Amino acid sequence: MQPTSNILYLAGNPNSGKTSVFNHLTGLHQKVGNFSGVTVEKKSGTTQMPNGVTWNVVDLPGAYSLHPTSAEEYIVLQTLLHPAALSDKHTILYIADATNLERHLLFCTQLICLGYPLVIGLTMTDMEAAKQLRLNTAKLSELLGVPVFSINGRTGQGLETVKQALCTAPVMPAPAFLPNVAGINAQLIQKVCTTFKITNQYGAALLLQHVERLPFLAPEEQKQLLELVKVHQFKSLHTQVADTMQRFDKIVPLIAQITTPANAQPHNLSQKLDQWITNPVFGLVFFCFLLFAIFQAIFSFATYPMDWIEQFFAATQSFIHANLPNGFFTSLLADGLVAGLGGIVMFVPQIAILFLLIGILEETGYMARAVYLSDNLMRRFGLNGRSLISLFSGMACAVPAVMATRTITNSKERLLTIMVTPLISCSARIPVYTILIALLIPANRHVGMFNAQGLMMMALYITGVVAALAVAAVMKRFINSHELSFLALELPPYRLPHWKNLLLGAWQKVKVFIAEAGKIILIISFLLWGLSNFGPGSKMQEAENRVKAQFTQPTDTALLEAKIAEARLENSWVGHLGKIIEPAISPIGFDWKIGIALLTSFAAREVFVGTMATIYSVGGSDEHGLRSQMRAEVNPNTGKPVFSTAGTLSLLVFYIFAMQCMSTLAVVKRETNSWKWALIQLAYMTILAYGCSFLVFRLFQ
Amino acid sequence: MQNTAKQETKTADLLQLGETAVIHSLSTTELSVKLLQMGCLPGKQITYVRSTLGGNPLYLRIDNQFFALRREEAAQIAVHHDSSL
Repeated sequence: MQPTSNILYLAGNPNSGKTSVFNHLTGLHQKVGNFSGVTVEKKSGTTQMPNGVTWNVVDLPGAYSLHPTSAEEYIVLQTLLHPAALSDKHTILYIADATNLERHLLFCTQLICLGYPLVIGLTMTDMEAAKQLRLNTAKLSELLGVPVFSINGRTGQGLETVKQALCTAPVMPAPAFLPNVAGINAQLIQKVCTTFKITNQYGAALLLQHVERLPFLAPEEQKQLLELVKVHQFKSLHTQVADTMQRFDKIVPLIAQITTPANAQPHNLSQKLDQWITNPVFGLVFFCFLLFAIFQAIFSFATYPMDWIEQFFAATQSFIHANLPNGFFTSLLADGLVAGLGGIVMFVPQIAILFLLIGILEETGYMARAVYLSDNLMRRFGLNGRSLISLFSGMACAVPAVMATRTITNSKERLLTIMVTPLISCSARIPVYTILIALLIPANRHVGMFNAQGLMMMALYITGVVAALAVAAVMKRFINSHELSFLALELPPYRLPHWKNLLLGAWQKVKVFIAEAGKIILIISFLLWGLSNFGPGSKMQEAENRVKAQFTQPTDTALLEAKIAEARLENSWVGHLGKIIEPAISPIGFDWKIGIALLTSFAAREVFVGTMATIYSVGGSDEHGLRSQMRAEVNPNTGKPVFSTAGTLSLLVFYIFAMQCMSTLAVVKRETNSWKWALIQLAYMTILAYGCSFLVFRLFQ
Repeated sequence: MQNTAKQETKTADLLQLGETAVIHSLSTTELSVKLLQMGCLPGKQITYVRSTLGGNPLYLRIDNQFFALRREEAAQIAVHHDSSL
């Protein structure tokens, strides 16, 4: 933190354009959405003032009021009511939408009453609707007693003037908007003020109203407040309503004074669009079409960059092996580090494309409509319409998807969403699905006009979605919650997406993936490298010597190397582990070789393909060779092919359901604040995967 | 906030499709606090614009803003018909 005098808070309602302003001020990249509540974290950055001084800018989450009804609003209250913040009294730049001032001023007047020095930045003043209002900003400034500036969230125009004003003279707190605290006994307020040594009466009221959700209060302080609440029969909800109503009673006439009532119908185009887009029938058709289009886009657009990335890393590995002496460090570098990095970067194109598309849906305002359309269905499964965004994101990667559940206010609905999101097939499953489907179905087979392999892929995805809903429906019976479940969603007018915001938003998600999932993938890659390059005693060396002894004649060196690699892997620690778990997985049709691949998949599921290639002695990334090797593989115990229809289907089913991702477990642990739910998730997904694989294997055998 | 009006009031979830009424009052619940904060205020016009296939949530217009509210959320809002309409 910089010296305390140089902090600027950004506050405002959701959809006020606050995040765009933050981007312009700091250049620090962050998401701007049209969907209520995209900003979930308190973000900060720095900005250079005209006098050369650097200020810290803290972007508070969007909030409607200081009486919180969502986790984000609680963050705002907790931040601003914190004793340290109250004593420092940093300046607030309050962003308000000029076309909807009435609602936006509610929160603003609360902040004024809390004693914060405040400056208003009016956005959307360039919109037609705002122009018709003929807003008198000078009068607004006079009535509220705070400076008011017009700014443009998209271009950043007007922000320099705000900065100039901020650093020329310190902003003084305006007189309280409401002279008294609404609906609360003055004696009670006085008691809180003396007990807690604060002077701000509104702050005292907020302490009383929200005592149960203020973590900065010491247990002793909380007890004192609760005692006061009890003695005075203080009704929090009533006083919150009274506070809100009294403010509006003053705000409504205030706005009448500064605007000319407009006759025009606002958002006409949005309404015409919504006749179709939110039509009960066509809306659903359109929604399904969009889903299908996104699904297609991930596959068709991402394939090329993914292939390049794969080739690049494979080439790097070969280059290292060819140019560095054989040995421990070369192997660690090529097969541990480079392979691990490749596994991470591989998914960047898919994740970027999917989040770019999701960003478009959010920025245009479509996502709010999708939430509206799906809420009823989602509720039947114990979820919320807002769960849709996480389930969507889960198609790219469960890690950012789990983090996206923060917009769900109800903790039960949020938990359920977290628990089922990893069942949505993520991008890491695609390479596994691809190779297994190829074993099952010839490439040129068609069902009607559709490619059979493509249909199978679709079926796997749908299975994942169905499973997610089914699990949620079951699990909701076991989670108790008395919390309120609500939708109450604003449907903002449609807007054209802002390309800069879209790109920055997608980049943010990619960064989350790299930071959260990447580091774990890398660690596990190193671990697996160790486990597969070392074995108990000298068994690996002995196995290598045996293979060499078999090939005494001069022979194909590539074949010899592949055979050595196979023998070494079989005798490594991971090979032993595979054999240890074989009895457990043979009922579902897997042998110890698949066991090894299941273990290595814990880094990232697509490692399956690479492990299979090593295990079946296929050098390089020759998928064609790998497929024929896999097809020819016979289980020595049963004498039957391992990758029979039953065996392959069983493995596919296992990959849909199994929790084979350490990164997801880690992020679930963090987001739920306990290992409990991460472990429950691991357990139920393993049981589900094992059970379904068992059924499928028995059924098709 | 009590129902003192002479006109007949009903809750907003009972509006007919396309029907417009005036918000009379809101109940005192956590949900109403949320609705109030979002700008759902007594005296504003409320119109039931459309719904989904399941009949829930409702797509409502409140003055010049649009909201998706579940039926039980709309039930927190008491509405009446303005004679001037």
